[in-house]
Amino acid sequence: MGNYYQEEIECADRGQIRAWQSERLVEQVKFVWENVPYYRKKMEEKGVTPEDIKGVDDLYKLPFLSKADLRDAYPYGLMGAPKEDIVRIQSTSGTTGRRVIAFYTQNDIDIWDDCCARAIVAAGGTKDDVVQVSYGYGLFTGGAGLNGGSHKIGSMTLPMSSGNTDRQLQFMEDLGSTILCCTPSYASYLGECVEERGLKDKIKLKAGIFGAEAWSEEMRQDIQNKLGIKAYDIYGLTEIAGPGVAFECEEQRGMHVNEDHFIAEIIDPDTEEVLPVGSYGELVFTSITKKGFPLLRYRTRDICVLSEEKCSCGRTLIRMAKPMGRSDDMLIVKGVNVFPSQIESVLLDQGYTSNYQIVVDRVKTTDTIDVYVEMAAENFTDNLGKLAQKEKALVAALKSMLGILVNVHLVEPKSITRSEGKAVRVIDKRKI
Amino acid sequence: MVKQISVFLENKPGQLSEITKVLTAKNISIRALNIAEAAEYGIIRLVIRKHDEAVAALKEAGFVTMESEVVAVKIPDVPGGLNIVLSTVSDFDIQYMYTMIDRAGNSAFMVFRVEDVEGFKKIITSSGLNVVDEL
Repeated sequence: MGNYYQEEIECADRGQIRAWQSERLVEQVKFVWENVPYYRKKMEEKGVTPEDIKGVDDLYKLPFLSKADLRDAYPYGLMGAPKEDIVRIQSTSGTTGRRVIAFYTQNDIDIWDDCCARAIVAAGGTKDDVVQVSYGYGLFTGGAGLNGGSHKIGSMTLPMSSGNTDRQLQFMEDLGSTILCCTPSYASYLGECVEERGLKDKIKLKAGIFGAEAWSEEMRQDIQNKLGIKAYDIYGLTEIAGPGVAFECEEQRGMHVNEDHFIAEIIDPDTEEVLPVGSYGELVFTSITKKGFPLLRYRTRDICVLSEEKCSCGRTLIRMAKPMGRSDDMLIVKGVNVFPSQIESVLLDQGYTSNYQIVVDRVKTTDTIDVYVEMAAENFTDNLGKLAQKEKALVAALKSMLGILVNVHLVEPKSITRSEGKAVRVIDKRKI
Repeated sequence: MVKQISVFLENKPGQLSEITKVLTAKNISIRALNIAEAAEYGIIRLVIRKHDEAVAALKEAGFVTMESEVVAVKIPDVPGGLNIVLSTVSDFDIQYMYTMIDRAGNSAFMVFRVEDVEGFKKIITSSGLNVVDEL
């Protein structure tokens, strides 16, 4: 049994959760019909009216929204509440194309803060903790979300934002930060610095909440070891709220979706058919309480699987697996789907670090994929033959994971640029 | 005991001088040096008197290093001198070796990297050859 921020919700009976969802969905569909002409038009085109939606079971009748819709409706087309009720905007990091702008009413912010507070409490956070928020602040949702959640709990919050690593470490040591929130790649870099500077005994970190990037189980182990903490995953997207749409508990076996605010579905990305719980497919979210940017059936392009299996933490909220990667992150090389997270998990498994870069190119008509990975002390030997063997083993492991030949390049430590926010893992020269 | 430092290097122009720069800055001189290279990377092996200091400096500069014990054998200064040494250890699994010439002392040495250091030393000394403790 763990710690809860809102036990009556997080551990509610599944029937109760479903009842809340049905009631809120019906209300939300009416609200959107009346206030978002863009979506109303989509419903009309599909021949659906609010009367057709009597509960969660009718969700499948509603049309989908995609990133293309966000572009078409940019900037105000999908805003729900009147402009005078909007108190905040946030925007995507713009890693994949045009920026998305989301609107929040004060109540939306409160909801979002609650969701993040649940995540921090699940990671062991209390008002006695010192929460170092090293996600970017500003338009990016990372800083704002965790900052809000930390305030709700009453923890001492350090609004560090990302970057300025020396100062991060200084505050971590001097103020005794106990919980770190940032991207996993930055956590890994901070861990590297803590090791190098011999700070592990001087810091008091016990947990970390890391999201906004796909990361592997192996990377989790690596961060946990380097920083001496338990690392928790958190999921979110600006379109739906930001971080806190789903969060991990101490079991570290999938993220609990905050279902009282967001309904999760898994669909077949090609046929758009809803798949039963337990199937792999594209994750779709419906926002049932937020009014500023009330997206219904938004296709996240994240590929993952849901589980209704009871969690030993006591929470009844459905769990989503770590997404294999946003389908935007997916590369198609020689006709094969490649997720950077797959490559990362092989590298870490073989004793390399998470400092790597993938370069995809096309020579004449053939795709090529090259992975640059830093030599790690534990893999280094003074025997050239043995070194070549290890390199071969890495190529073979990548081949068995991906099914295609990857050119591996061992490079010197620190030769791959470190990231303070979202890491640049992939350079696709075919697009340049 | 003679210790060797191995360093991982990418095979590109100027990389070797990155190492010599670090050592120069700390006023450390190299006694013996050997390079093994593949297409994209190489291993540079160094024997340095200020061993610990050199390891610390290279690590601080961000290099991946590995320390190992090697055996330095004095080569008899006669025709066939190297042959005498190699015949003695012909049954031994030698990973690699390289030469070192000390101009001042007018001596030549062979540096051997073997798994079984003690066994190797025993054979050399029991054959009347000289293992040196410092290069």
